[in-house]
Amino acid sequence: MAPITFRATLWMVFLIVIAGILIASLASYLVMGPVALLVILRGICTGLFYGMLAIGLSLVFGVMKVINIAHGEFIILGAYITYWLSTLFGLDPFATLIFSALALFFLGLIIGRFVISPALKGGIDPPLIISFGLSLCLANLMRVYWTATPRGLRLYLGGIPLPGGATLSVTHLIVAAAAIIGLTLLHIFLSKTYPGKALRAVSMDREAALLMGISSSRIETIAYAVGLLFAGVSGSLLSIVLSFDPTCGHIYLGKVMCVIVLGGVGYIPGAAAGGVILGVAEALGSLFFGDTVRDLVAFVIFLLILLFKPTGLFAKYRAF
Amino acid sequence: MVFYIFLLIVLLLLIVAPLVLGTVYWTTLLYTLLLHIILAESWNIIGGFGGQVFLGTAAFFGWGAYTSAMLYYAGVPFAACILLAGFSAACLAFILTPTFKLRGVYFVVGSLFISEIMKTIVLTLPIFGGAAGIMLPVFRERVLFTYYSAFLLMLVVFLITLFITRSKIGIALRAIRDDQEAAEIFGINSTMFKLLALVITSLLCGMAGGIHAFYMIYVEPHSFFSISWNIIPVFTVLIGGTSTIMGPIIGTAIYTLLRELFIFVTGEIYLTVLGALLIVVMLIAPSGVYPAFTKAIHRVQKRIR
Repeated sequence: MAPITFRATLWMVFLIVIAGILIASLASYLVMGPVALLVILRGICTGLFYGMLAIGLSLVFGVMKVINIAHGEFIILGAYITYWLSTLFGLDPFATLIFSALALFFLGLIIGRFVISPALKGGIDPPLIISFGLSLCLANLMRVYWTATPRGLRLYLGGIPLPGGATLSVTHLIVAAAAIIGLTLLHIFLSKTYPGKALRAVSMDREAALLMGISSSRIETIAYAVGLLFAGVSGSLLSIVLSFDPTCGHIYLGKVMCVIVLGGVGYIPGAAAGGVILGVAEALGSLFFGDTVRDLVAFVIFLLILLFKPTGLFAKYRAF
Repeated sequence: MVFYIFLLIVLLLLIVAPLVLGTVYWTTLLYTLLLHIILAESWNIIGGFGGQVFLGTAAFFGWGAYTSAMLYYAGVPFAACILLAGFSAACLAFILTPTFKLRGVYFVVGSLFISEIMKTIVLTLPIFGGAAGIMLPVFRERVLFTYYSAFLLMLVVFLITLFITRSKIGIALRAIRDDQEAAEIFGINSTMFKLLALVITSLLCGMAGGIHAFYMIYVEPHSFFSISWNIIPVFTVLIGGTSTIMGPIIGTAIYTLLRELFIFVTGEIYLTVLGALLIVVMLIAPSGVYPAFTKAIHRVQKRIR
């Protein structure tokens, strides 16, 4: 397994992304005034968080070649775990990250072992439909037991004053930092540990990995569990900054898919870059066209990218 | 011969049923059954015969409903409203042609977003009345009227499905489903046939939406572009068995029966039960209940001989 090579073109793409964001922010600063600065900064923070949302699904997709349609619902489940633990038991929201990570990891082990792994033998369609059934089950269970009331902690830990009178909430920065730490940890897991290396091997060539003595089905289960772990952790971060309700899982699935087609499957820097592009695009979209457009941006970018550049922006640079 | 007599009896019963039973509950139940059979059979054309897991039927359904509601206010008669609703939904399908560039899972997820995009468009543009939607006038015998329209549309759907299974279109679609590259090598224009299948599906879904608009009276984006209109056709066809005529009917019967039972017994939780059922069916019999059932019958027959 060759290490990820940072060739000149990769830096070019990153530079173009950064330059695009800078130009967009400058233009919107000229049009809208100082509010634009805050909006762009928040967009970048949310974008890094979107990268974190996406990497779990990206991992499962890379290994199993099947989209986990229930990923959005698992994110919302993670968000609920944090919300209930901190409102009912008074735990620190950031400490509950461990609980939601562990809970979803073991849930992932069980579902991956007993449901997804057996279904994978029947081709692509059965596991896809099964994940669809899972999303139906989860969304409805959460709606019935925890009601459809929008919830969220919306933590406020103080703000950083920006030029022009606006303040950037510290919580956003903490979430962005957490996302970067999470992505780095995943990178270390994939490049340094045995399960991580085996996981990359399985996603590159399942049969060859089998011949090298890697139990592919076990690795698929682990990949599913790690994918859900990331869904849980990012769901916890979601409940700290934003509000959520049981039925908005598929909106997050849309964002996640958009990030994946922007950044490529299983490429960690790509996920971060795709997330930032989406975050800034959403922020600018809702700044100029109103808040109803916000959720539409991800869908439109997803369809446009797939129609005009189906391989994504970072197709050459896959971690696996 | 026995089968045709049985079919005739069932059709006659369906014609007489609302007049004999008379109560609103039974007519409503039969109406929803017919509506879901229409949606399931029309999804079966693209999803079963064509093998494209298209999860965006709500876009056509809602678009058809909006078209017929708006045309009704423009003074167009009822029947023409429904026909034009189907036609406009088919136009929408034509616009969606580029989606066939997407392959595999991207197509599935992309189609899931089409209804979301349509919902947001209808919500934001002021012509469609925003979140308040459009209110249709209440007229007498509304339930019977929509029931018989749905009945006629169901007959049309069956004729179209029969035609597709017996014609070259069906063969081409099945070839694409089994192996798209191989079908293309044999000279089948896969994009054209898939588009044809999508247009037929959208036409029928749009007409179903047009009828349902008159049934519900109140057309608003959240209920007509609801994700459940994406889910239910797929669900019923997959449970019953894809690319058969009987499969979707059996799937719809199972769905309606379970829904009525669970709404009485467990209340709101019925969607969870249906999702769990979908998982179990996919694990045990990935091709659906009806094919598994016929296979079992064949096995029993062999053993008796």
